[in-house]
Amino acid sequence: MRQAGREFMELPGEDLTTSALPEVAGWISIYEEMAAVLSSVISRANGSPHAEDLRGNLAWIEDRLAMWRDRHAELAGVVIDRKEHVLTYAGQALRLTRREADLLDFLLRHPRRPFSSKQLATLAWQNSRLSDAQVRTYIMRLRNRLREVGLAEAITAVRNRGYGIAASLSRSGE
Amino acid sequence: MSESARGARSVPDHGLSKIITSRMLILQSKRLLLVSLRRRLAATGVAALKKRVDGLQAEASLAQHQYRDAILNWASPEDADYWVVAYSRLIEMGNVLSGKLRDAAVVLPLQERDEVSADIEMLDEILQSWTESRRESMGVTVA
Repeated sequence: MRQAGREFMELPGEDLTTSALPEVAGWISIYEEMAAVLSSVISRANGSPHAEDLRGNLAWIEDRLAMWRDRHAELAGVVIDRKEHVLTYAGQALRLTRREADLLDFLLRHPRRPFSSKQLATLAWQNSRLSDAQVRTYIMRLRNRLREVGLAEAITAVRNRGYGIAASLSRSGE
Repeated sequence: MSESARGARSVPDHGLSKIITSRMLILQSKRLLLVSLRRRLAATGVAALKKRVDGLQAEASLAQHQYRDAILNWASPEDADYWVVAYSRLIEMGNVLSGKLRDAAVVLPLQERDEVSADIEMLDEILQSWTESRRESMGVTVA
């Protein structure tokens, strides 16, 4: 497999990064699902002889999940400096508010999954007191900001399910 | 899963086992109907039966999914059935992931290909250990 991979050559002008992006997003979804099932099983089976081995499996899955989330962001060409709240994309830098940076970072690290306003408030900002209307306002503001660097289509709305990140981020800025 | 688990707090234990039993009975009845219908289809070759077999097959799959969910959410981890279902669910997801990783390997940039190879190797090991654990749990169930 590794050998076969090395024999494959990228053709001139071919951008394998573009095809990799949705693939990586798909793996992240499955890794997330496996981690969720494992966590649930471990929490119920505390003390069981099975639990110790499964904890090791979960640690490996979480490690790979973190690696693929980072790689997904790299492939998408989006870098977020969470300390300075600066987004870099296609050679352009954009200063965001802390909330905007946290929201975009969260969505990028969980591709292919829509999140409701309540979930975003709790998971991206750890603030369950934000109303749906407030979250919608933040989403709208963030979309407007992203338009400035050619990422207008990056945040998608899924009817009755919430907001997510586009599987292959818009590269309209390139 | 978590929502069901939250809901389960208010249901007494005997109620939970009744839910599991009822889902198992639904699954068994769907399977029996399916076997019977398949026999009739094989014997008569009536085209209309084919559609009913397909429909019943989908219903049986759904019933199996619901039965497994019930086991995962409400059965006791001291029960070997719990582990058979838990490992089966994990193995299914692991196989899907492994298949996707293998399929994608040739269209990836070099850096991803090496990472993917590492994932596949480790996943194969994990899947092997889950399969072995499931087999052991099945042995306990049968015994």
